[in-house]
Amino acid sequence: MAQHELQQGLTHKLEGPFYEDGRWTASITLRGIESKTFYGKTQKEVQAQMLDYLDHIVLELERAHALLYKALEQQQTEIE
Amino acid sequence: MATNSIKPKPSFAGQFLKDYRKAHRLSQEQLAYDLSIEPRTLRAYESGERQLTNINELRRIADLLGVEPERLGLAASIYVPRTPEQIEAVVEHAWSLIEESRVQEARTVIDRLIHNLQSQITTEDPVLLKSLAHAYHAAGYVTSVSTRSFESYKAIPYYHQVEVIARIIKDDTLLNIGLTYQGDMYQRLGEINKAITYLEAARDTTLQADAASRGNGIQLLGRAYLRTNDVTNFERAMDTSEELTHAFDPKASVTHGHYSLGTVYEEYGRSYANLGQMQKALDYLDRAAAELPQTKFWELLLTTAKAIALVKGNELREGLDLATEAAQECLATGNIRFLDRIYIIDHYVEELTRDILQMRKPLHEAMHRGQETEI
Repeated sequence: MAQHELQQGLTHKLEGPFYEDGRWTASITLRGIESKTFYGKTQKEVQAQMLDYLDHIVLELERAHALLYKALEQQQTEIE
Repeated sequence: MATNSIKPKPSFAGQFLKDYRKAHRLSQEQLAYDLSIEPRTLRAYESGERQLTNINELRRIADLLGVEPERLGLAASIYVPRTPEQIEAVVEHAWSLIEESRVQEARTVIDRLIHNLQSQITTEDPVLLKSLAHAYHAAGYVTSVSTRSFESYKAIPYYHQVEVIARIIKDDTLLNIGLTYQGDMYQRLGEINKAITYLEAARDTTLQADAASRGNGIQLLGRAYLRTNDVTNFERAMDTSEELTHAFDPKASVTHGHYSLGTVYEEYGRSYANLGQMQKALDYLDRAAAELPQTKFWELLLTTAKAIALVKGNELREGLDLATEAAQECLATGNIRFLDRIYIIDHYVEELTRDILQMRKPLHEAMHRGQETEI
């Protein structure tokens, strides 16, 4: 078995926006995983994209949490 | 032409089998398989075409279904000690129910068996003691599968009995199992140091144990090491465990298939999943899927591990859909142990939501102010 790279350090990172190569760029890393890079003509455009992206994830998470909570609540009821 | 034939009435036991089958939503073929009889025989019992009155057969069926003999029409006062063969048959049946993810039924069967065996625990017959230890092993496993982590203490007395019997009959394989699973239960309870003490004792003091029990114990030791962030020892243990999977016949394994190359790959997959290394996790889980039997139990194990990998790898939609589906399957089958994994995901989702909302705040403020400053 080859060496395995088990690493901790799951952190979030928000970088940018920076102006480079004639455009604005920024990236969001969630839990240490490269997640998404954004590009735009203006800094504000990039920020708006980032906000949209985060809002989208929050919506997904809340939807999932509601579903999971429903299933897990059912288990609590069954135990009681 | 009209006939005067009278429809036969099923015996008390025949009617019970029909009611039991319907209550558990089993086909005649499924129940016949569970009872190791022909489907046509079960049909005849249920219809009354054949009367089920043989006392030994009634007792065997009562044991396999985990029900009181009275429910099949047997007198309650007669206690007949079980032979090792009878015990082993019920134990094997309980393991096969686990394999099919029929956890509640397995628990009923094994709880009843343990209840019936209480008066036989004083025996000095090593063959019977060995069968008793097998019953306790199955009882511990069924209990651990049907409980959340914080309830794992419920399984410990069963594994302790395995250890006690193993020391009496000087059986290293059983001793390894007793120590290993006590350690694993302490690991689930979060008592990691105690867990490692038991698991290392299993590894170091049961040198005559068979390869399957040793490999299983070492895999679980690896899991405990990783919980202390001891990656070096985790990898060492997993290497040894993987090697040992090639040293025994899986079909005759004392772990009843709960340790194999497939379980080792799943362990790697879940470990990487927990660390957010999605691609590696998924690769190992694919390898595990190719090795593990295609039964509901293993499918659920892999589904929950895959859900963790996807969620922690930020493939949220796919991962969370899978987690929700798995939660429903856990509840339907009584596999509460795997539900723990869904709780891990749920907790992760809550943390991530909180983190993202925090991350969003300065962005939103910057946008709101219309400032062009760096964040």
